[in-house]
This record gives sequence, C-alpha cells and structure tokens, in this order.
Amino acid sequence: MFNALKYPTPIEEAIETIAYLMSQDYLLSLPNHDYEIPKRSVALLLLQKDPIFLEKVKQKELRYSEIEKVIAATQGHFTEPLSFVIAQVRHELGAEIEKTVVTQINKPRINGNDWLHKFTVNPITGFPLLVLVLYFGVYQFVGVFGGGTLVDLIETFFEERINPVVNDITAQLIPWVFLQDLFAHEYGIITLGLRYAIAIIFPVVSTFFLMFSILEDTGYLPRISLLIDKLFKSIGLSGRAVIPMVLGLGCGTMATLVTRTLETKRERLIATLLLALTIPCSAQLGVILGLLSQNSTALFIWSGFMLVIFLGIGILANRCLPGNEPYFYMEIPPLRLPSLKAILIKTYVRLKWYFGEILPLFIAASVFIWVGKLTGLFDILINLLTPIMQALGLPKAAAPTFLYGFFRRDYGAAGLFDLQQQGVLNSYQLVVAAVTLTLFIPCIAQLQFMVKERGIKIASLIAMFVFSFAFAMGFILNLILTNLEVRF
Amino acid sequence: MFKQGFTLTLSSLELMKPGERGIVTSCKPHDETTLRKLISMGITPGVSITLEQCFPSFVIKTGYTRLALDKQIASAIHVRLTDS
Repeated sequence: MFNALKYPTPIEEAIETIAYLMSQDYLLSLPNHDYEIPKRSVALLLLQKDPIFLEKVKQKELRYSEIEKVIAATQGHFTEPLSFVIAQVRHELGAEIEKTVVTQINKPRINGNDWLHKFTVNPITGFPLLVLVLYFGVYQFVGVFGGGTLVDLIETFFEERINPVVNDITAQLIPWVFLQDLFAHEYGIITLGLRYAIAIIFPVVSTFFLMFSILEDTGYLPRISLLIDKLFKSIGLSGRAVIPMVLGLGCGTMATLVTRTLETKRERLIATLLLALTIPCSAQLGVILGLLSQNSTALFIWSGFMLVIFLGIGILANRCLPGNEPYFYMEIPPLRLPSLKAILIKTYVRLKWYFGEILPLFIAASVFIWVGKLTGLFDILINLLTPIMQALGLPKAAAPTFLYGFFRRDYGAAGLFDLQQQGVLNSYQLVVAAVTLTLFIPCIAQLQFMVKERGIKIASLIAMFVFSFAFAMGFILNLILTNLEVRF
Repeated sequence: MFKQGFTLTLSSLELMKPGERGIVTSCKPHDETTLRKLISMGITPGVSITLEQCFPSFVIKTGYTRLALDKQIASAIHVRLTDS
C-alpha cells in the first residue's frame, strides 16, 4: 500500500505487544450503535496517554502493569513525547498525500491584504485603530446612535401614540383600576415592560449585535486578542478572553455562556466574575452613555472608575486564585470583506435568541411590580433600600430603580433614564447611581447562566460579592466626590 | 582548522527577529495540552515557519496559516534558522 500509515519500529512493536496483552474488547458507544474499536487503535491511544482509555484499560486488564511497562519502554526510544511522534508521522503522510493530489495552477495570493493585516496588528497602528473601532463602533454607533437617537425616536412614539391608546382601551375594558394597572399606567406590562423592551433595549441591542457581527466576520476579533493578550495576562486572562469580554458589552448572559471557550477553569472563573461585576451590557451601556453623554466630566469619572475597578479586581483575582497563568495561541484568519447577508442573518438570530430570553422576564418584572405594589411588599423593599440610598447620597426615588435592577440590570438602567428625564438627579447622584448600577448584581438571566456554567456555589458567592461591592463602591465614590467638591 | 560549508544556527522562536525564517526542530511545552494544541495547529518538527512580529504577541506564518502565540509558547518552540 502506498499510503500505509507506518510508525517507527519501536512504536509498531509496542502496538503489537500491547494488542497481544489485552484480553478484552473495547467498544465505542454511539446513540444508535456500539462499534468495536480495533486493538491496534486502543494500543495507539494508550501510547498517546489518552486519559479515558488508560482508565478503562486499568480497570479491565489483569496485565495492566505489563502494558504500562511497554509504554514506558517505548517512550525511552524517543526524546519527544510519544503523542508528538505519532502525530508527526501522521502529518508527514498527510503532507505527502497533499503533494500527490493537489496541483497549484496559479501562485496562491496569500499576501493580497497583507498591508491591511500588518496595519491591524502592528502595535503602533493597531492600538489607535482599536481605540477608533471601539469609539465609533461601541460609543458612537451603539451608545449615541442606538442608545440616543433611536431610543428617543421610539420612546417618543410609544409615549405619544401607544401608551395613551393602551390607557384608554384598558380604561374602557376593565372597570377596576388595580387591574388596569397590570396592563397600563406607570408600571403596566404594555406601558412599562413592553415599552422598555422595544423602545430602550431593542435599538441598543440590535445596533450592538450588528456591530459585533461585522467585527466577527471581517476577522478583526482575533487581531484584538493578539494585541491585548499581554494586557489581559495581568488580570489572569489570555487574549482569547477578548471575545466573551467584548460580547459582554452586548449581553452578559450570552458572554457568560461563551466563557466556555476559555482554556482553564481559572480563566473561566475570572471572566465570569468580571462579566458579572464590571462589564456593562449594551442595554445598560446605551442608557448610561445616553445619560452621561451630556456631561463629559461625569462620563469621564464613570469610565475611569469602572476601568480602575476592572483592572483592580482582575489583578487581585489573578494574584489570589490558585493555578497558573493561561497560555495564548490562536489562529489568525485572513481579513475579509464580510457578506451583508451573513451579517444580517447573524444579527437576526442573536436578536431572536435575546428577545426570547428577555421578553418573558420583562413581563414577569411588570407583573411582580404590580403584585409588589398591590400587596405592599414593594414598599417594604423600598424602605429597606432607602437607608442604602441615603448612604450613597441618592434620592429615595432612586430605590425602585435598584429594585428593578434585580430583574434586569438594563431594566434598572432604563429606570435611571426616566429619573434623569424627570430631573430628579444632580450630577453627583447621576455618576454614583450609574457606577453602582453598572457594578450591581447581574440580571436574572445572567445569574441563571452563571449557575448553569459555574455551579450554584460559585455563582452565589460571586453574586453576594457583587452585591456588597457595588454598594460599597457607590458609597466610596460619593464620599470622594463630596469631599473633593468636584464641580461638573 | 576545518570550516563547514554552512553554519547551523539553532534558536528558540522567542529569540528570533521578525522576518527570520526557520525550520522547527523540536517543541517542548510544559504540559501535554499545549503540546496537543501545537500539533493540531501543525507545528511539528520539519515545518517551515516565518516570524512576522514579536510584540505584543508572536505572529508566525506556516504554510497558509497565520498563528498568534504568547511568549511562553514561543519559548517552547525550537527552530534551525534558514536564510530569509
């Protein structure tokens, strides 16, 4: 046979000996059928130190110790690990086959957009480009356009055209005011829940997902990883974590799910913590950028403070958690002009997923608020929050906002938006409220995914830490601002 | 004194300069997982690689593939330098 896979003699001999020493057959169980694995393949897996098969063979074979000795003796013939030697033989055969079957007619144009690639990864041009991409992509497009222009447009439409109609209809259909409140008025399912979802969350999240899909399809994301890896190492993460972190600026829930792609448990833990604590999701980000954009000092203080906390917590976690720093390796795909169709489909699928997750929660939140107000539970909780609000220097009217924050952080942020519109908050209070809400407990959906991905113990530990840390930081920031008497 | 017809320069990838080319002689990472990843990315002895950049991460090109690696992994890959 021309293409026969033949390993170096010591390995071939070892395969034969191990196959001879094995008394049992091994099966690969697939849903519809069990397949017998040839002894040669099992022997090869053992030589490559496959942990699953080593364990199986250890339990089943009487002559396991002899098999172990053969493996050790075979390793003695080579300086490289056996798995490496075996892989190399396979690679060589693969390359040989490639040579015989592939004909290059034209010289491949792999250097087509090399200058553009160099421009994106050279630190001198790459970092300014990254800042520009984040400024225009996240701040201008998502924050100002999505969270400002579009939100204003849809909000005004809702308040002027839909809410009055809904209020009228429910007033005609339902004679009892308390039941009207479930659907209409200040906290109704339609007038509050649906309005928040469609008018505030929808434009912000769709602009974010659109931007993320573009970054993804051009192949720019791996280049961000490459640039940022060294910085991320100081917070115990590798460049690979850029993807969940940037995604976290869109939706923390989705990002928590994506932390799966990180290599080590330690990395996944740090990423989950930072996502829960410091990374604002696009709905929050849109609303907060919208709130603070009229006041550049407030925006500067908020982003500076958040950055310090992000790095501080990351560095601390990196120092305190056991385990080694992560490695970083990543394939860098060529830069491509993305296809509009693919981007639109991706954005659509993500939006669909997102709304499937949040709409029921928004409606549930409206119902809870309705029940809470009706039974007086809401007042009790608000009273409990009032001393905390006072400690943070915030008005009592801010308490419900934080209460909504339990349901969704963005829901809370949207409530902050209403407060600002009513002119209840001064600039100190605005910054303190923005910081506290950004840090504040992750929304219910994210908490749910934290439990799913990290387990109930770690998830509740993180949640408790985030909860107390958020208010502590709000308190400290208020103290700093009032004592320094910063004017803005 | 005998002089050989060619010089043999061995180096770890970490110490190469951007633009230099070499052939992988060995890979010695600290753990099996990284080794497996290197293998799956096609970095095995005999493969020719070009170092494109070494800061902030190492960027190498092998065949049609471009890879980014950190310093730790770069130091585990040993190469024999060839003329660039």
